[in-house]
Amino acid sequence: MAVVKPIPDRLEKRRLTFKGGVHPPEHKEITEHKPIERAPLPPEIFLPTAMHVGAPATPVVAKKDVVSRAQLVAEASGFVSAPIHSPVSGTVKDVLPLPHQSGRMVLSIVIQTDVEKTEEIIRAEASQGVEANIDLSPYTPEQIVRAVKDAGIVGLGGAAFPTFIKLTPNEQKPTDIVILNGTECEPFLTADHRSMLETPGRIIAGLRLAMKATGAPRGAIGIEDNKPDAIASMKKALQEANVTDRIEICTLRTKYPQGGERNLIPAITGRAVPVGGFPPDVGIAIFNVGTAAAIALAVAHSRPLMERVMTLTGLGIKNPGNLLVQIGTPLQFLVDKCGGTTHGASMAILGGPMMGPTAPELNLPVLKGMSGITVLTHSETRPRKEFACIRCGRCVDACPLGLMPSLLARLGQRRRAEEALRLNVLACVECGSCSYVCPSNIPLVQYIRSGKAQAQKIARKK
Amino acid sequence: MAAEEKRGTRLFMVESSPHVGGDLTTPRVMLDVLIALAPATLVALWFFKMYAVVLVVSCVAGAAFAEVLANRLMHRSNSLGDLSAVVTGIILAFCLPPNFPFYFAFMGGAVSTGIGKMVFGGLGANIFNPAMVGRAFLTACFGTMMTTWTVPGTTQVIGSPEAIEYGVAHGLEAITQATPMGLVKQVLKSGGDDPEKLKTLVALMPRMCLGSVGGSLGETSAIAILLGGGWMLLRRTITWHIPVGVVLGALAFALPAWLVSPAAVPNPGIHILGGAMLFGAFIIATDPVTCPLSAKGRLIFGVGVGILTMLIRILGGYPEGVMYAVLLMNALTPFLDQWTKAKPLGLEGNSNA
Repeated sequence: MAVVKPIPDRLEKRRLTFKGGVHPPEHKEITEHKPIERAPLPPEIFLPTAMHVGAPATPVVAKKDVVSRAQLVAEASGFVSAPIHSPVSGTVKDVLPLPHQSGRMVLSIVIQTDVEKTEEIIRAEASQGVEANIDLSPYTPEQIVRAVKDAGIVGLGGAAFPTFIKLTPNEQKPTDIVILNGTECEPFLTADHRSMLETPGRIIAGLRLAMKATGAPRGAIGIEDNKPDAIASMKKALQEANVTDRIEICTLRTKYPQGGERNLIPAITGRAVPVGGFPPDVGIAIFNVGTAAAIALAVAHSRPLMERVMTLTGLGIKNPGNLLVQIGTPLQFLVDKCGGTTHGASMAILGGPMMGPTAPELNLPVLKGMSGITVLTHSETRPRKEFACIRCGRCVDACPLGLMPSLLARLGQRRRAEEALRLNVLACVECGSCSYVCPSNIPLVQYIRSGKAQAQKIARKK
Repeated sequence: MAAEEKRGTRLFMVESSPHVGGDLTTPRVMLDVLIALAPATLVALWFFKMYAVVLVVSCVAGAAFAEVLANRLMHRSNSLGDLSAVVTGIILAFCLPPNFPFYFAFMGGAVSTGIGKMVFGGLGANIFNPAMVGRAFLTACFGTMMTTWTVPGTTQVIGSPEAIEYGVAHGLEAITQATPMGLVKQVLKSGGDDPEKLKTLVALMPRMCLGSVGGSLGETSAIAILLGGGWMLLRRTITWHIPVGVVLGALAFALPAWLVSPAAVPNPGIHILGGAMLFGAFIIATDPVTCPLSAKGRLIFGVGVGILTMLIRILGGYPEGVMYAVLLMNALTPFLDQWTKAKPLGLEGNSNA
């Protein structure tokens, strides 16, 4: 294990940024001032059993079963897995393979919504808030981990890694600090921004619970300086909570990919996550702010993860906005609720434009890790002519991880996986900064991805 | 989900992320180089008139011709659109004596892109600076013509009896007897016994800034080159590392010598303003294809060009050494890339962002 540097005493005073990165147009103005609205319930909910990292969940309901909101419908099927709960009351219509974000068919549970019953339960839930100064004494670390595990919470920032694993204390690797990621560096997306404005107390409560579970003495919330109102909101909530926990709100320079954990962690703590390692290796647990809010609800009210905040945005959507949606809601239903797509809409991205995969059709459901849908128009997506690499080095300067994208891409293209492995191709997080800056429009990330796949095969053999 | 019922829904484009890109394109990068060459072009037009037009046109035509031909032979699509052949042609023209025959200039242009770039596989694959390959070819073939300079604005050959007569008549003795770099060579050869020539050189410095001295077409005006270099720095077409490196490398040689015997050797300013030093530092050596990738590598590369140029100027047979200095450092670029390889974040020794 690498030598771990002490974390500075006062985080706010440090120059919080990283080397490399890019400044894509943010386009946050489209939705950042729009309050989160609760989306109407869809007539049918589609719950794929694979919406987290790890083994797909195993359905525990069958066709024609009557389920109620928050009922377990699929249980975790391994250590790295997560259970799934029905966000609606209704009847199981079918359990069958359906199209999935990954492009494969995935076993999914289809539930017909009983709108009235579900709405009644949601109204009852509305009175159950969580305050920042929640009393932590009734909860042991084990109870917190158990509640989060049972609630099926996964990373809501997009990675969808089961959260309870990151919360479980590890004697060999004690957690020095819990970091909440509120940077939201992807262009267009504003779901975390709005959550920090509208439910700051819930997020702080989640952070305090995570600190208690992991035994971390310190906590930090990292927010980019393009969201001054969110920084103010979190600071105010923290002050009003008047808790003794050592929590700091860290302002980070707006630069993509500031929200990548391998760049956010060194920016805040001065510690780098080792290549091939993970944040716990350097004593850090890191969660998305939305995940923290879900932790708070799960622990305080035993509420499973059934809904999340999503941004529907881009010039391709008629009435963009931030929506509180039920997991499993068909994307087409949501887009229709936002006025549908505009005439020029040409590309639907699941997430933001830097890292989000595209969907050929909107016949997919909302997954736990889906932070938004960005619909771009023809003028933004017209194909770019590719030129030869002129070795300008812009990709090298832009790589936030200090890799050599142009070289790795060429190795990937030519299937020279051994060399790519030696040059740490597996450290690439596919943030897209290199492709973004390339004046020759070379799809570097695409080639590097293929190189990573080849290198992984070799690495596994070794 | 109900895929069958929804078959009528629209289909969207599918592609690998990221789905947005910056505005900068490779032709735009080349266009910025062309814009950077504009001040020097204007100066060349002002002082060398039609010679400038003829040389630039023939070099660009030669460069474009070889590129088109090579693409045809290799069954590749036309690549003139990336503008790199135009850039190569103009840079070559700027490195030639103003009265150089246009047909040989055309040949030089053709060798630049043909041998200097296309045989390696086209833009981005070449090891050596194409324009310098073309110039090296011309130097090897037409050595005398490549070192025959004219008095700006005339057809008179510098150093010829007519030119000296013309110089006496117009009070231009300083520039009709030799080019600044020729004078530097004479001063160095004299071993410090020629204070007169040294004085002439010092007096020439303002002219070297403006460009009204004998020399290659586009290299004579320091001010024009600095304007172009400034534009490229502003547009981030180049970084400061190579120009600064070249000047530092040159100073490393010129400054100590001058401090020891200021009366015997040309001052560092003359070395930097004279010949192709600045043009090389800002325009030639900064060719991204043939210089190292990393900032550190570029700094070392620049210093190497500066030092080698001075070595050739002081010890070599040629009055000017930028071309060979650049070509030699081009050959070292793969090694510099290897030595200055970026270290991934999170690997031992790179713990902070």
